[in-house]
Amino acid sequence: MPVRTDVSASGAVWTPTLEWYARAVTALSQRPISDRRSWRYLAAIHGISPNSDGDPSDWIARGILAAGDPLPPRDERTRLWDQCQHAGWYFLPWHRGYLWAFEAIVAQTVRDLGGPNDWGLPYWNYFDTSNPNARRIPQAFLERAMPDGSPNPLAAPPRDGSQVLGPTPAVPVDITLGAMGQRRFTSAPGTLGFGGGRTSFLHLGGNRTGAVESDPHNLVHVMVGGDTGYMSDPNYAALDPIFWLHHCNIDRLWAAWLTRSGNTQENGTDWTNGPFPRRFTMPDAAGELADFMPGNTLPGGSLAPTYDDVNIGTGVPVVVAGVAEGGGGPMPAILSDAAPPEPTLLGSSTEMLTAGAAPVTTRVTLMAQPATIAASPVERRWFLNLRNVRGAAPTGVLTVYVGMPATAKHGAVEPVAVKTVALFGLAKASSPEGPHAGNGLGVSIDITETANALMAQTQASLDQLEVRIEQPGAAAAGGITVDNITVVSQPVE
Amino acid sequence: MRILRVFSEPPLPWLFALAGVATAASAILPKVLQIPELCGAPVARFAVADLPLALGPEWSVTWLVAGWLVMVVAMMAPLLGQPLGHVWRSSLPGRRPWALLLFAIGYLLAWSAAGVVLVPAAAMLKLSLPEGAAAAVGQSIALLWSASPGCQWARNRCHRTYSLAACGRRADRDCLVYGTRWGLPCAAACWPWMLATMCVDQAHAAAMVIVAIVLFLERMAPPSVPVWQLPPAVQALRALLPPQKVLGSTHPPKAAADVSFSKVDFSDSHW
Repeated sequence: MPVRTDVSASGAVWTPTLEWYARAVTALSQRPISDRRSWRYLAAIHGISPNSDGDPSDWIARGILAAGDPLPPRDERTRLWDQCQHAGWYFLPWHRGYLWAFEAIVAQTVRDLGGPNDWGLPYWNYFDTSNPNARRIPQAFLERAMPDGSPNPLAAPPRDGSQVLGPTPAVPVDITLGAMGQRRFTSAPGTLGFGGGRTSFLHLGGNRTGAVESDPHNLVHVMVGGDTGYMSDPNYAALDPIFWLHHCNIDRLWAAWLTRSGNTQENGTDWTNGPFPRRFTMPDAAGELADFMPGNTLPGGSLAPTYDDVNIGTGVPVVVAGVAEGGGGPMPAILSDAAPPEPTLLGSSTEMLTAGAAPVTTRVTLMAQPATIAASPVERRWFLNLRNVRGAAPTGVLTVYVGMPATAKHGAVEPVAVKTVALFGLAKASSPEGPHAGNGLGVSIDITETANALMAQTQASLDQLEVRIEQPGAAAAGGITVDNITVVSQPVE
Repeated sequence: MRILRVFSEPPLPWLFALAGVATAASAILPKVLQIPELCGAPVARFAVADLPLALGPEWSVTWLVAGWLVMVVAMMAPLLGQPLGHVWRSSLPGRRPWALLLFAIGYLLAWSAAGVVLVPAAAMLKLSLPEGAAAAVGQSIALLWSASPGCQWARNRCHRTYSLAACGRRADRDCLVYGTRWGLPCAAACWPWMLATMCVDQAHAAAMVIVAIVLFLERMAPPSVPVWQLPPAVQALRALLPPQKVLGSTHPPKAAADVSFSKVDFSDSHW
């Protein structure tokens, strides 16, 4: 069992782990895409075609493939490619299985090249506060050449974003560990959970994005990829070697979350044995196809990873002998198939919005509420939902503001920013011709603190919200549409 | 036993119960309400203009429409978990029954329009072909259509969700339109199965139940690329078999019933 380590732990630009990774990337890149253990085949598993039908035309147009390159049979392309799970329940377990298959193939390649027998995938620990360069793309992924002077495949893919994770004009928000505060893996519709809401097999498209997928996962993709880089588009993202280190850290955040007392990991049979009828399938190190289920990815399962550390840069207290330091409860997270508390719909907007270069505003009228959230019979959290968000760009960014319009009972409160979200896979999720049904993406934002502040400021109950949406930076062509906006509240457990 | 869990996920128990009541009603109601009886008089060769005569003296539009809608409810109710759940969650608590009713009206309007074509088509099939042949032809058409890209195109649209206003006249309109927009692709995907069922005289209720199960399995499949393929119901049955190989495992796969079934989900992100 390989141990996954921090890519920056030693402080060196090039470590043996990275040098062997680079050599393996070169070797895998030289294999034809018809080889299940080739770099491009593995990337196509994540995504390759706008309509998710395994059509390689876009890759041919960008020179990633030649027109005459032999391809796997169509049935295999349909089954294996365009498989990544996003905006739903299986985001974390699918990517864990994907990383496992990738790591096994790279490790075998490393062995074949004469490298060590225990090569393990490194992770990009961008939340490590003890490392001043943690937010920077690891230097080995920026160098033109490897130590031996040969071209560096780790820096080859186009990146159009920032080399340092953090706010930029195009993405004016920082990445956070806020998701680690979620106590449940599964969310109820219209609310947030760590891993996402119940869905079936879902290759992009839906309204059930989990907190950790939204931030930091989506944001890092867009910050690194920018407008045209591979990382911003699910059809190209896995071609960039940094993709795998990013996802390894996302996976590590899940591993860390599982060690936290009080968290509730989903283990209902529909999750552990799902999805049905389409299964997850990967090539193994021998190039044979094998299925897996989310249950295989949980601790104790055959695909559960081993990390050298799950504390640094995860926001999780140090764990000693199964007990959290500082008096924490028993470890690890409990397993449960109990449904989360049912939310209550409070109101919705009635018009579709198109966020272009200029901000757009709408109002959401709410059913009668207590004058304060504290006055509710039970403590509740409030969520604002952007439903059926669609656009033609591979990805998009929206900043959402919430305020109150003036009514007979209170004055107006100017909208304040509550969240900037990255819409990874926007175009794919918006295509009505692919397997996404054209539903677009959904966004859930916890606005409890904002709602409390608005009520305190106006000394009135929330009867209407003013919601403003804008695209920061350059607006995507055609704008981004939002079918409607809803507000729900959910009892706190 | 895991398969049985499918039937326990709300609102499915209610929808299965509704389908059962409608199936029973279809069997015990007066003959004039029973679609298969429309074609009870065997006629070797038949013209459209002769249809009222062939239907017999008890024929009426009202009975015909009622019989058709009973059959639609019996066979389609189990497929409605996702859209009904979406309407339920998208409506303020006080108006949910009204919202569901509006959705149902819109949905049945779409199927009523389909019935205008399908009922005479079934009558013509039965009256034009020898006994038993009409059912075989109907089933062949249904299987072929189910495997076709056109049917997958329609099924994909059955997975589309539309945002609904929470209250007010806009919400009423949204629910009615949603019912119709959901019903039209539903009819486009399922029409040959209805046609095939209407062509079965003997054990008609059993045929309805079998076809309803087939359609339910098709409904469980996620949206996919519209290409020629094995009918999704066949794929679903195949998925009940254990995987040939499990990633990362050196052990043989578990028994099928333990590894491959997922509960039905009524979230609005899929289905």
